[in-house]
Amino acid sequence: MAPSIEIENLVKVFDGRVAALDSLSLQVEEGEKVALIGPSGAGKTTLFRLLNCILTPTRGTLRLQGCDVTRLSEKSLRELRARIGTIYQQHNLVPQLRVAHNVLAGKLGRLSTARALWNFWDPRPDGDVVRALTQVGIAGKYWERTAALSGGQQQRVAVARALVQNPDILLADEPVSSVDPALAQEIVSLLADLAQEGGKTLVVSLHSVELALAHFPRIVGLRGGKLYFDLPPDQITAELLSGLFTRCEAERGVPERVLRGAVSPVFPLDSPYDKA
Amino acid sequence: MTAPNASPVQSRPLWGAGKTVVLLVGAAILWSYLGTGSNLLLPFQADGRHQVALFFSQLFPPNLSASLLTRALRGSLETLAVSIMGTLLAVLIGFPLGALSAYTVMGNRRFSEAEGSSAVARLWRRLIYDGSTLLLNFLRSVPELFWALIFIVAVGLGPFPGVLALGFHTGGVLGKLYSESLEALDSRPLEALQATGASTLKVFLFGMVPLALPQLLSYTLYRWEVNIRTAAVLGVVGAGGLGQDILVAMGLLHYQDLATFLIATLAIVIAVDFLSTFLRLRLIPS
Amino acid sequence: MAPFPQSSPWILPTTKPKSSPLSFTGWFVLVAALVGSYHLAEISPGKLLHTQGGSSLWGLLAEFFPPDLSAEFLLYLIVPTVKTIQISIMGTALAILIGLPLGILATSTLTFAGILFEGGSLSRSSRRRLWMLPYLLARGGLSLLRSIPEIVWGLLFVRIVGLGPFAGVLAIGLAYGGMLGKVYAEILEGVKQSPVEAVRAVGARRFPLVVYGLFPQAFPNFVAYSLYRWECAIRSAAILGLVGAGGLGQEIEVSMKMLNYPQALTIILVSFILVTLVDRVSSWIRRTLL
Repeated sequence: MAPSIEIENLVKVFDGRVAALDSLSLQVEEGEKVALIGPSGAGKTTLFRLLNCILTPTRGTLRLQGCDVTRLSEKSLRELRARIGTIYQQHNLVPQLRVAHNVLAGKLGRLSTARALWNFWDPRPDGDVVRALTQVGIAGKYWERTAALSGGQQQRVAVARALVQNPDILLADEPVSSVDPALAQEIVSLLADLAQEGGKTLVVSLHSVELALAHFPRIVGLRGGKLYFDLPPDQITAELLSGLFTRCEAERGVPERVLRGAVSPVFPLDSPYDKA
Repeated sequence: MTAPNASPVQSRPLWGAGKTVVLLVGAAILWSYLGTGSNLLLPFQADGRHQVALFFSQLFPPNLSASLLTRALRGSLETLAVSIMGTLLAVLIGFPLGALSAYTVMGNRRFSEAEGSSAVARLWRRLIYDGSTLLLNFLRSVPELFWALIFIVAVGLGPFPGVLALGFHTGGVLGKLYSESLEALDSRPLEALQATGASTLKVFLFGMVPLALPQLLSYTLYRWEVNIRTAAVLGVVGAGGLGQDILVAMGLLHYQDLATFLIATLAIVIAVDFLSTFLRLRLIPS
Repeated sequence: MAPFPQSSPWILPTTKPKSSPLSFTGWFVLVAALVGSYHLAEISPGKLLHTQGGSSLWGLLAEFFPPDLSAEFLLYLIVPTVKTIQISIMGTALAILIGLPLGILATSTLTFAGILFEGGSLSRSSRRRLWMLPYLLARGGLSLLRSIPEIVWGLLFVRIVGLGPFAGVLAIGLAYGGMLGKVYAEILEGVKQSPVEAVRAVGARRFPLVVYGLFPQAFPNFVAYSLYRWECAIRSAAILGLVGAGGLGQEIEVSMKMLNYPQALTIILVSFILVTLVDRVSSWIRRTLL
């Protein structure tokens, strides 16, 4: 059986000059749980945006569930996206909508246009939705405006959206960096349990190394758009970690094999389309 | 849906205020559609399409003879002149009234409460504040063309009543915008100025005006863009400019002349938009 | 402690640094424009003191007072007032109907640029080529619609559909449609892109994606700006009657022609009240909906 995620010599260059990922190779089997750690600017967010097919690779191969994303039509790409769920650091919910709509948005990949529009008009919860809301513990908030919820509650809504989507691969980009430590613990174990139950592949990037070491059997260190290490937690030493996070000015954020013409050390952290 | 007691999700709130508003707005639109005798199917009916096409085909080709172009140029320049003078008059009316109707200038709850003033002085200030606010409201609420009708009675036909009309209406609009920006200023530099012992007038001149100036200029240029459009139509009530030429051409059914005047209107409006953007970039530091 | 090194004596600049925002030519053009405008606009402040008839300005203005508040005239005004309200509402509705589709076409992030079009088989440049023309046409169309004043549209439509309120509706609809479309496009381009990206990552089709991720963010601003335009439309509706498009403007023209100035003043007062009323209703809707 093909691995869930297969990355070979993956390169992503922004605007023709900023290299966010540089010859990355990685393989994740189905049902595996992987934690991604690394300093900011290491290319984690870019990797996630490639993994959920929002961005296309500049060079290299990316195979998800056996499909080569560079060879897919718009339609099959959309169908592939429906099988990959993402949870974001900033929730990326639509604040003006009710919780109901934000959660139901998780189903959009499987619904016809007409059905999706009807749901927007009449966002009733079905069995999946009720189960997801109960799992994350915000069933009472279904009809509230998302903007009125606290940061922690909003993160739960984002998790519920991903659960309703019921994907094969679950990606979480710093899902707990904006919540308090107790809740962070809770959300990470929730994600780990959910992946375990459903046999889903789980890739989580985490700011907190402790959380990563405690919950994940495989830790991937990313630095300057390159793989730094790929080890089980018991083999990760303090030297490795300090090597991963030390800021060495000469190579800070700049891949060693800088691409031809890649000179700017500026790395897009969030969506480059948000200019605000 | 699952039975209410089995579902942890509360049932949906049945009727919100939002739906009432949407329903009322819908009803109002329907009422207006019928009341105005509107027919939005016009472009889909052969007859309607024919009417529209016939009218617009009569506009072509525009009359580009030298004598008409001279008239169009003369009308355009007059329109431009009316818009400039009208905006200038509006500033002269709006700035003092706007300052007097800003509570940070005139009101009793100013940035500093330490200033002691007598009850009589406070009453005066209140009266001036309320009076100028009311006057601005009135100036603003009467449309330019109504002002033009009044001033034509007073000073006769020609561009001058147009200038007065633009000045009065726009003066009301600018006065309100000016007072709003004077009220929204950061109070800390002003408090510092007052702490040096400066009088209210000095705080106004050396603190508030310089701080608010970019915003005031920006509003003024914006209103100039609006005024060029209005100046172009003041002629339909007899207040000079291109509007008068348009009206005459229409009355005489000289549609090809009309086309030339319409093009002139478009050209002058777009030119002022560009000029205003240029001045904004040049005069106002971002 | 000496804040300045002793070795460098104070030297004050003796000339004011040049900081004028306009060059010499700029100032010259400005002054010339003002003087030229003064003459072209035939400004004669003297006329305000001695008017043609020999009577003073105040004497003429006094003829407007007192306003005609007889029950008969006020009852007569009800129909034109209602018509004016209806023109403003239907005109704004038509403006939204025209402005929304054109505004969407004039939004680069909905036609060829940005997160919606990242990836996929159709490359960015070919999509840009495909959509550039409709995009530019929509921009140009909106600019044309709003650059012709609503009164001029009114004059044209009175010729096409005849005298009456429908011409006023069309005039407001076209002129304001141009303004609304431009602002709608600006609002849509300013929407936060990260929630849109999230919904796209779920695998949503393009239309539901726009409905779930993009429009809800733009909606409050759409409503606020459209209501503001309605407030302007009531003023426009009141004056459009001057060119024969029904409502209060038509009545004021009649009163002025008949030299019945007190009636004209009443109509001006009625439109003042109408404008104030619409401001109130509009802010009530804004509060309830947003």
